[in-house]
Amino acid sequence: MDMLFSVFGELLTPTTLVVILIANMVGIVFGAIPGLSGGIGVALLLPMTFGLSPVLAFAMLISVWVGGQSGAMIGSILLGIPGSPSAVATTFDGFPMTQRGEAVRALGAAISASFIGTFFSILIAAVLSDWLADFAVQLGPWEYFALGMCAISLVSSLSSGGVLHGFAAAALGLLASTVGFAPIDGSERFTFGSIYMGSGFDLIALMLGLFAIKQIVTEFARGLPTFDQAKIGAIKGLGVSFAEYRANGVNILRSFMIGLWIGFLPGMGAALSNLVAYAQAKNSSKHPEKFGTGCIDGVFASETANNASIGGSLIPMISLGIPGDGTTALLLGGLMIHGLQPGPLLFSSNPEIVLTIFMTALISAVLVLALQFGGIRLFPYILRVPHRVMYPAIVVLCFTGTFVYAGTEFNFLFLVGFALLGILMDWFRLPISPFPLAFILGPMLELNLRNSLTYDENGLMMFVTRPVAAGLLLIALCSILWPFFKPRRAGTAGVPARGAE
Amino acid sequence: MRRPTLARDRFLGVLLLAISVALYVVTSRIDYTPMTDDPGPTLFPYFGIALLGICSIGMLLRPGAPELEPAWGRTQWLRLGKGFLPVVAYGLLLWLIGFDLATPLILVAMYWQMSKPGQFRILGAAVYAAVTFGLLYVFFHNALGSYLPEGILS
Repeated sequence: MDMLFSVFGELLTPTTLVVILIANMVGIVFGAIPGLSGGIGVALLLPMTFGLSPVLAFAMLISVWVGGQSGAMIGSILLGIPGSPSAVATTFDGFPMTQRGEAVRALGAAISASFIGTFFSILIAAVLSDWLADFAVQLGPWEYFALGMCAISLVSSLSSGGVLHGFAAAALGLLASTVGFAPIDGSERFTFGSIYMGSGFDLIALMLGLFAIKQIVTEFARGLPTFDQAKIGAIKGLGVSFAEYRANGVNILRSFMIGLWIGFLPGMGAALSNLVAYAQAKNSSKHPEKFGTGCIDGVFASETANNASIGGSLIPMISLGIPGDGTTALLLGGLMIHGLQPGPLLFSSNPEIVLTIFMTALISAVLVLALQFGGIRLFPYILRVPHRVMYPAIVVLCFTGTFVYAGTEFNFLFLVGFALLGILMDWFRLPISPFPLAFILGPMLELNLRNSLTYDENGLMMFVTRPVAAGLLLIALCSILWPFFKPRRAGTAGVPARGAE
Repeated sequence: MRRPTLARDRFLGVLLLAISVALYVVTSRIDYTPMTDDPGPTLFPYFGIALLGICSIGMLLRPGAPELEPAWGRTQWLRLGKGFLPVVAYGLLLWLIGFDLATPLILVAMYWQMSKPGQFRILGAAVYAAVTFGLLYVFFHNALGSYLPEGILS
């Protein structure tokens, strides 16, 4: 309890609160602008946190993430272009409402639904993570290897482009993680005699190149679309009446549970939960024909679910050290960069970090609610920030961050190389998400694979005889095979099923 | 959704298969001292190579992942090259002349590049470059106490 008050006290100091507030604003801006996302915001801020205490660093990163997740609805509602894949379903009804002159009502519903989704999912995550971590300390290397493979399999099979493309991207990520000195015996692998390659590919350069630089160059190639048409009209009250909240009580609760569960599963997250919750809301509605024409129920469903996925995805990240998507992979990388060991032992070794993550997310949920309701009039201006102002500064930040982290200009080669790789992957339709996920999980997987074969004479058999490991590997196997059988059942043989990346 | 492009998948399959074979050769030459019961540092790379090899063969035998967006034309590829140019140039300039000179230069260049026709004003670009450079410098150098690239020619 002392720790709780200590962390809470630290987070509520004026300096930290200002940092959280600014990070929330940065997150909202990055989330709102189509092409950017809260994830890119987290990647850009990561190098800035090196000189900060881990508590302040994670307060900053989590705040950008929460702001970005909520801010994604701004583009969806005002432009009909989602700020990120997590707000795709919000466009279905949010944008028609704007066209009807009800932008404030749609934004009001989305803002409050975002708050409900984030705040309560974090509360649940805080309880469940502790419980799951207690269980996870009993797991051996067999279970951890199986868990990592399960996460990679789910992400790969559900990513865009099909299961073969997903796994090829994951395999490239796994192989990229083997560059440098090997764990356990320290053998040199794929360094080609270069001292710069000894510590392997730099995570910061990889993330910034693969997400930020690649995105900016790609957006430039697409012709930098402008969003001058965003308008919200007159503002009166919070936009949504109490009766509308009450009428959507069951819808919000159902969408919340969908978001929490899908967020918890590796590979799915907010990009899928908003679509599933929307479909469920439509199916359960007494007036499904109104969905897609500007029905507020759809906005409530989508925004509650995608924000509930924040809490859901924090559970495996905190308690097991397994990231569920690109942004949680970045946060996990952030833990490693700050010298912290992700996983169940984080609760005993660095409980202040665990508390910081959860409490910052709660504080951010409240601040984002206030910021968005207070700044609703500014939303169109966020969408009008010129590319010529935003993008050059991001490029400079990427290079500076890469240098600050590594202390050598050599890593600029990685930054540019991974941006180029990202563009090539796009062209070949290799999904990006499995690559960084496999890269981050690679060392953990290798260590546990080697330990599992060393600890016991029948190390390989233990993967089958230990129920948790066997169950997880079975799930991984099903996720690999499922896309090959599903098209046949659906009568669309030949092309593996695609999901949201 | 557009028609699947089989040729691109087959090309990717061949490319990934070639990468798998090359990595297999490099992995088989990794020098290490065997330890009791430990499978050694080559096991995991072999695991990744096997996965990549299986996927590449799968793409050769079963090509046809769907197109997610319209294929790019010559204009987009040219713009992509133009967009990449300042990124590569900035990396080189940081290495050669350091952060203090390279950053304002590249900020002005990219500001110009991303301005719509008739939008570019040199004074606006200079003010933008000065303010952005100043903020980044104060944050990284003064607030965080980080070193910034000095350039081998400086």
